[in-house]
Formats: sequence, C-alpha cells, structure tokens
Amino acid sequence: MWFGLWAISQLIVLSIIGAFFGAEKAKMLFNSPPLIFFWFLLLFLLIAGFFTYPKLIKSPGLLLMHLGGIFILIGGMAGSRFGIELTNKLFNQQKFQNGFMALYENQSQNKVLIEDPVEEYKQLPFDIKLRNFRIEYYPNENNIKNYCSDITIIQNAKDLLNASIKVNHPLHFAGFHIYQYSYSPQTPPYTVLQIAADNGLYIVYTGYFLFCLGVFWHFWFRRTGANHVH
Amino acid sequence: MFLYLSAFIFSALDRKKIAKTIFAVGFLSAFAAFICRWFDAAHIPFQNMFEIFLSMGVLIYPISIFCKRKLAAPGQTFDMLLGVVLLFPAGFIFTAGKQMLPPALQSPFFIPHIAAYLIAYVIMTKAALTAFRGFSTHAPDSDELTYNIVSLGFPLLTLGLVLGSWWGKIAWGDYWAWDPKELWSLATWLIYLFYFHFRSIFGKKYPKINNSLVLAGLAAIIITLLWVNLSRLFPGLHNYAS
Repeated sequence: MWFGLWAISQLIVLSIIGAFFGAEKAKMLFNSPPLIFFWFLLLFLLIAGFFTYPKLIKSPGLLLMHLGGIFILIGGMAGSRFGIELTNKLFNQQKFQNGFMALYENQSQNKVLIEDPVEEYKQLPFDIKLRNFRIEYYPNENNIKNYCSDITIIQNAKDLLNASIKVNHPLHFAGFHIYQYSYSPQTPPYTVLQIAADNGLYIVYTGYFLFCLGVFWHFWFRRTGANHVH
Repeated sequence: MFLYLSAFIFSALDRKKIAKTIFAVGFLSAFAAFICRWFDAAHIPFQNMFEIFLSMGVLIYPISIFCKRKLAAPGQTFDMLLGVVLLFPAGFIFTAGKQMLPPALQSPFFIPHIAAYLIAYVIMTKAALTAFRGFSTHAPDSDELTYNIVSLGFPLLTLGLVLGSWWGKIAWGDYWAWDPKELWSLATWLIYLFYFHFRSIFGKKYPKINNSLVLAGLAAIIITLLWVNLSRLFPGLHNYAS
C-alpha cells in the first residue's frame, strides 16, 4: 500500500508536469523508457496487491476497481507503439498506431502517412475511395454543422461498403477506426482522414466498465441506507 | 445571485427560516435562467464559461439539500455564499455570447460528460468547505463528513473522466491525448485517489492531512476548469470555451 501511495503521488506530479509541456511533449514523456518501467511497476503493484491485501478480493467494489485498473494499463500498453510492434510480429500483421490520408474526390488509395516516430508511408490492407466531400451548415446560418466524407471501402478490386464519415461518427473497419480529420477548401477540395488502430481499445473499455461498476458499488450502493456511516 | 447573497446574509444573521426561503427562490430563478438559456442557445447551456458557471449555480441548491438530508452535513450558510461565488463569474466576468455547437461537440456524450463533471465539482467544493471547517473550528466530525461527501462525488468524477475518454476516442481518434486539460483532470482524480488510499492506511489518525488533500483536490479542480483561460500559451484540444 505504501508503494501504491508512492506510485499515485508520482503520477500526480508527472501529470502536472505533463500539463505544462503541452500534449506532444507530454506524450513523449509518458512513452519514454523510465515511464515504461513505471507503468510495468504500477501493473506489478496492482497485481501484487491482490496477494498482499485479501480485502481487495473480498470486497467486490475494491476488486472491480483494481481489476479495472489492471485492464486499463494492459490495454494502454497493447495500444502503444511498442505494443503494436509486438503484436505485428506475433500475429504477422501490418498495423500502425496512427496516420493520415488525404484524398481528392474520386481518388482511391491505401497509403497512410505516419508522422510518429518518423515520417513514412504505410499501407492499409484495403483501399479507400472518396466519392464526395461536403460541409453541412445549420439551417439559415453560416455556422458549420459538420464535415462529411462519403467513402467506399475497396478490397481485392471489389466495392465492399459505402459509408459517410463525419466528426463524431468514425467508421470501424478491419481493426482500424477512420475519422474525419481535416479538409482543404481549395478547388478541387480534398479531405484528410485519420486512421487509428484499435489495438488494446476494448481491453481499456472493459477496464473502464469494471472500474465504474466498482466505484459506484463501493461508494454509493455498498452500505444499506443512504448514510455512509461506518 | 443577489437572492443567494441575501439568503447568506439572513442565514449569517441567524434568521434561518427567511434565509432558507430566499435560497429556494434564488435556486428557482437560477433554474429559470438555465431553462431560458437552453431555449435561447438551442442546446443545453454547457458550452462556454458563462453557461458552465450558470449551471453550477443551479446545482448548488439540490446538492446542498441532498448533503443536509442524507449525509447530515451542516454548512448551509456557506452553501448560500458558494452560490454567490458560482454565479458571480457568470454575471460579471464571462461574456454571455452564445454559439452554435461546433461539429466536435455534437455528440450524445456532450451532456453526460459535462453534467457528471459539474455535479462532481460542486460536490467536491462542498467537501472542501467541510474540510476547511475542520481547520477553522473544533469540529470532530469534520473528517467523517468530508469523507462521506468525497465518496458521493468521486464516482461522478470517475464517470466524467471515463465518458470523456470514450468520447475522445470517437471524436478525436484517441481515448487519451495527453492534452493539458486531460492531464489536469487526471491529476485532480489522482489526488482524490491518493486521499482514499492515504485514509485507508491511516484512518482518522491525521485528520489535517486528510482535509488538506481534499482542499488540494479543489485547487486542482479550479485549475482544470479555468486552465483554458489561465493559459492561452498552452494550446490544447479542449479550447471550446474560450
């Protein structure tokens, strides 16, 4: 538990430092070798906690929260760049964490620009064709309501499915999420899509679910009666 | 706001009954303003700082009543003052200009993510007031009360964080982007997490440290909430409010 207290205090300090760095540098900080060591240590502490503190297993709320924490950490690791490289080798895949694709109307391609850690192009196992890009406006106003790319997924020279990708409405296909990211108003216009692997995502979501279940059970519904009195 | 203020003055003067009535009327008028704004802006008033503080000014009354009835938490007088503090920025600091929701905010997550956070923030502020009471006066039950109020707010704080992360995956492409506001909200959550672990080791042995942690939590909340306005130097994804 002392270690747990120490680990949490370290994370508080790091988050505050990270907040002053801005997102890009903070991401580098939290993925740097000392922090990778820290994440594994935290995972070890959470697992060791079950053996040292029987209370964590006996109390369903505490069990769910700490299990949730373990899932979130493992999912986060699986979705990191190193996690994806590892699963690529293990399962002979060609996935990447995050990249961008610019498309003119009626153009189709499978090349994705990766920016991090070095700029390079990678290939998707399918092609994306932009049929139409449009901007939706609020009725009778100049305010933009949404950006929308109508695309077709093409695999083995066959049209597989049509979809409209908007902000807040990504497409999930073959282990990737495809997002409306940006556009250019020039003529002819082009759209920029963001493509991100879903590695570890559902492990993280499971962790979130377990943690939320545990936290509400433990603090709100555990004791009978509304008074939280011991 | 003036109704909350006069409620506070009456309560401070020990005219509890009048104060309670004015507090209730103050809530009703804040709630009416909230509803009008909802119709006027054509979306729930959660978008800019004016709307956020107005919403929190509405929330203080039900939370104050709930804490009193269910947790036997005193301090209604200070809740009235807190109502003034919450509505003051809406009235005199932030401009009331309304905007249509930009594409990124049009999502089913918009209401629950922000509502969970606002309710949690008001509850945690109330907890910090109770913790502060532990320092200023001799109040032996302050530690226990503070713990109960933090226990009420922490699940909502967690829910806000998790919903935000889930929404981030759908809107921005990642469930965690290391954005400054995200990191401040994480630090806030971790401070309360630290509080629970610390208290489960030492119990009520160090009530002052327990209470200080709850005050630190409030400080982190204030920084998280105002971060966008405090630092225009650190651009982040969360800059919808500015």
